Amino acid sequence: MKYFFILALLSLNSYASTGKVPTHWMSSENQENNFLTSTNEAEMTGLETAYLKILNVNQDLFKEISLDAKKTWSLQSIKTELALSAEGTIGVMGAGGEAALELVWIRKGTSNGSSSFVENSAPEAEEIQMNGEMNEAAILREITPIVDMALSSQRSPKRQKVLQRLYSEAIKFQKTIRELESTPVMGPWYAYKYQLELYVSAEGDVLFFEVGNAIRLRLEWWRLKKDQAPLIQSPFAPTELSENAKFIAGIASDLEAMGNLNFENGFKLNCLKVGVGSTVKGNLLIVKSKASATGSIFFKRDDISQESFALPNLMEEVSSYGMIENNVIKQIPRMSFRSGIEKAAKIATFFAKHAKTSEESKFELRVIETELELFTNGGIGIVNVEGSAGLTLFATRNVTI
Amino acid sequence: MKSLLFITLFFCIHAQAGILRAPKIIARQLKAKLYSTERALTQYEQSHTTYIYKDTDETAYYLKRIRLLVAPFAAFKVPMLEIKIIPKIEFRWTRKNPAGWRNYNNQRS
Repeated sequence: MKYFFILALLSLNSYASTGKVPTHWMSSENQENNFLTSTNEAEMTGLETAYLKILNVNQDLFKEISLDAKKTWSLQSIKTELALSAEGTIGVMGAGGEAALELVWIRKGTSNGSSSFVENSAPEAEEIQMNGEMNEAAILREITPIVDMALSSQRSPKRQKVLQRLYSEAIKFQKTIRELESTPVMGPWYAYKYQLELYVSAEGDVLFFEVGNAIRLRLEWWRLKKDQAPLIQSPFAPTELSENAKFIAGIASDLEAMGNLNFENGFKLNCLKVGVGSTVKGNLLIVKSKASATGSIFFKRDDISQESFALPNLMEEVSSYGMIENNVIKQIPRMSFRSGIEKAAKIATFFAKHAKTSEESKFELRVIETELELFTNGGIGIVNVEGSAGLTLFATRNVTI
Repeated sequence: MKSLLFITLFFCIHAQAGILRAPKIIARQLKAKLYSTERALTQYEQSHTTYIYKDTDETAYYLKRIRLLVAPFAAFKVPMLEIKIIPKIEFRWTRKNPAGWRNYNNQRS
């Protein structure tokens, strides 16, 4: 019988070839050298081959999908997820667990720079309602049709339960964005959107993480500003910042400290997603995805010179970040966090280097998301299928995500 | 030994044939899901008010993107086994900003 399993694995090799990432990519060790070359060259060649095969299979899948750009809501992109086994073998995401790498295929035809969907405004005839604060009626009116859409393929969904969960998370979101708004933009990196995520099981139960064949729904509220908004505000002195403003500004400073890395194929490292929650006192902290919170803040880097800003590093004010894991709050050293971010970025350069798209495909690989496990010593490594991601690094080319 | 070799060969041919069909089966499921979701979104946009959550005079928050992860699958039988391939694929729908508003950035103009 065991021969059959071995042969099955060999046969599946043609669909999603196997390859292994170097062990130190998944550990908390922060080796200064040798990020992109393993002592075992055959291992790196195997990884490259497996990755390229997966890219090719994805492009074949998307050939038949039709596109319609005239609608208000329009299919902009498709994402596929790859996972790492506990031993580091890379493959197409199947059963539940954490994805290690997410590949976003953007429809072709969007112009250089940002997608036209992102930059253009909706027609003025559109009915717009301004709300000072989120209230239950407005939120429910907005999210109910989306939940119905998401649950359309589910059997006997517990619709009210899903709506209630989303509503309570949206209220938490409102508190978080107030904190974001009090955080001045002090460097090229800044917070620009907030994402709510939840899973719904086949039975309609709302889950915090994936189990079995649950579907995943993510809603994103983007920060906007008026077309004629005045100049950005001047940097605040550290003493003027709230604890949460220091938390946000500290992470922005750590991102800037990793400097400019050389990404091939036109990719740039310009976005980071951090799972966030708050303490009873309301202080922001990092959450790992299997904790209770489901909200994330996205940081973005614009293409502007560093000299445009006087960026305080806040090293004296923020020496560690709070992180919640399994309902326990731990402090992770900030300097280790900084080094870990740089290591993760170097690993991401490998996947960007091999990101090629065939000319016939309607979708082009433009975003590579590397999911990262944050260890309690501050070290960072790629998450395996059994781990829990706390950070996501985004390498993008010619698109605003 | 010969019979084992024969069974092995038989198994490999079945598995390989299933794997070759898998992308088409999965693509068909993706198209069906895409069609039903786009139909729901069309109804949504026809009857919906756009909400902006304003937090200062110059900035606001806006539900701009919906992302839905689905798991189409292809299953095929080989002697004594059933093999399933279940890739996870996420669709992302984005809508335009309301008139007079643009994405937040830290540009000075």
